[in-house]
Amino acid sequence: MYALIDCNNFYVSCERVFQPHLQDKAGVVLSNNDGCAIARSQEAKDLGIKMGHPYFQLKDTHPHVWVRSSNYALYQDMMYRVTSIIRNYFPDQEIYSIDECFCDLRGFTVIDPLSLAAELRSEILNCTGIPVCIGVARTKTLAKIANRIAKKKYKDVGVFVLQSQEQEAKALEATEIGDVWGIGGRHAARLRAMGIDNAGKFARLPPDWVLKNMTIVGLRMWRELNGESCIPMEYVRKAKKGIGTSRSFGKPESRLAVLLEALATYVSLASAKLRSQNSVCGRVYVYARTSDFVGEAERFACGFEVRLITPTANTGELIKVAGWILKKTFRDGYRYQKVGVLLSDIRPDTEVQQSLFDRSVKRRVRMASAFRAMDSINARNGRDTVRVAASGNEGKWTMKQDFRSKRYTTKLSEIITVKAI
Amino acid sequence: MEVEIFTVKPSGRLIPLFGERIHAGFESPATDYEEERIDLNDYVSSYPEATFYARVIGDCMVGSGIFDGDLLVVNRSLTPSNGDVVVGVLDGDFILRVYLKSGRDEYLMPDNPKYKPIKRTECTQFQIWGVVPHTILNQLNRKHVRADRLQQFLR
Repeated sequence: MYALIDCNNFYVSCERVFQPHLQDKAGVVLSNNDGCAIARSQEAKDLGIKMGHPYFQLKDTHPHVWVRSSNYALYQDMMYRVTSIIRNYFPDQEIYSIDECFCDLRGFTVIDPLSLAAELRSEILNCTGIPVCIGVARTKTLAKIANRIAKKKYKDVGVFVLQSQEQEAKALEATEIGDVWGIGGRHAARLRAMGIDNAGKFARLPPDWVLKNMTIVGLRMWRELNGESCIPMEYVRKAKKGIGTSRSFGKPESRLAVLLEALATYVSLASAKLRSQNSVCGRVYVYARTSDFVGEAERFACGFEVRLITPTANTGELIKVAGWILKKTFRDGYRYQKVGVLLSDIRPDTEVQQSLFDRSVKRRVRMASAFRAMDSINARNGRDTVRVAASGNEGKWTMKQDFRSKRYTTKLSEIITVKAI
Repeated sequence: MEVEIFTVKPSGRLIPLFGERIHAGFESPATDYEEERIDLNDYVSSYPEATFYARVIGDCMVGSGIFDGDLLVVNRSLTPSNGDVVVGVLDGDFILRVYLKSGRDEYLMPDNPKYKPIKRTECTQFQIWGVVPHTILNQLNRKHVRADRLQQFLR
């Protein structure tokens, strides 16, 4: 059996744990730069607020709905707590996204999965304040369906187990084809046109047809729906092939100097990430672009990639290279919305070979220890305690986060206050 | 810092370079006896996933030795029982009180005679957010108060 555990309206729930006055009131959490709604409370959903609803509309049409900027430091810590509690129950765990994880229950003789799942759910709610829904079934895809039913039909209990084949069949009939995990919009439309509008009908299609028309990926889904587990657990995140950092600006920016500052900050973040996993990168890609929502004549995107002679994780070197690319590719007269960097060709830092043409080996070794020292100071005293001067200190381009709540669990200066009055 | 950017593709042959020094000599005889250093986190919280920190505002708990500005360790996994210091939620606010059950009645009690008890009724509904197993008092912050008080005994 597999379990899928999914946090309800996760970002909204995190905000409510530490701001109890938001309980029972319609509210949303906004995307980076306070652009649009990316998480909605049930009350907000009931008001008809959609995912991606732009904030500038929302504040006029729904002035009483509370809003928060996204507070990822808080959400990440709360997810750590939730997954760590789950591990005490089910050690075989795959963290699938920031608000859901799969557990493999096959190592257990679970006598009563329903009551075990219910116990886990109340433990998570009790210890963290985060409500979750749990679906349990024979395969990961079926567990997704069970979870959906828990969420839609048994919200108060929050747990649903597909225990028998009859139950599975009923659940499949009730699941719209577009809601099946892994069936994309294009396939769903095609199947619907053929009269295959629910998961049950799809599961009764001949496997040859599925293989021919939907490749091996489709066949795997078909098998999973028929109770044969064939999507394995992924315990370790696959090593990242590229590390990218990019942000949209609070307002469009046309000055090269400001773009360079922003870029330097993103390169610093990305290279610190590289060093934290003891890797170096061999390729640097830099791009800049204007907003998609401007006239044809004002639209512009640029960028290219260079290969480094000696792979590195050295912030200084990477900023130099990235800046060189941006200067080459930058065109005056556009209002840029976004600039970003992608470091790729990532490999362990023990596998670096020096190039014959490289004349700065000694300096490179010295710089590497300087950046290690910088990372450890920043780990101890907070991000950005020490940073490279190229990233500037005015931050004209910083993200708009007008409504961010405090980092209640990661900064001692921002913890909740309790009234003893 | 100098960074050179080559526009020509260099030849593929690269020469490895050994940058590490090799250590020689005896290992410390104490390495086999290494132990974890004392960590107060283990003492204040048996359940880190359920442990949060909070700051006190006000003086209604001075009887329990909890002063304005003190740091609270809050454990959400504990079930409150008679006499526990708890963080409650009343009208959307966090409040600090003592949990007390008397017969069928539940109270949030201040530990300072200046304040009134809060009784759970139809219209006064409170929740318990967590139990406070430990508080952390900053003794440096209180040294002036203490010095003034002790001065009296010298007169």
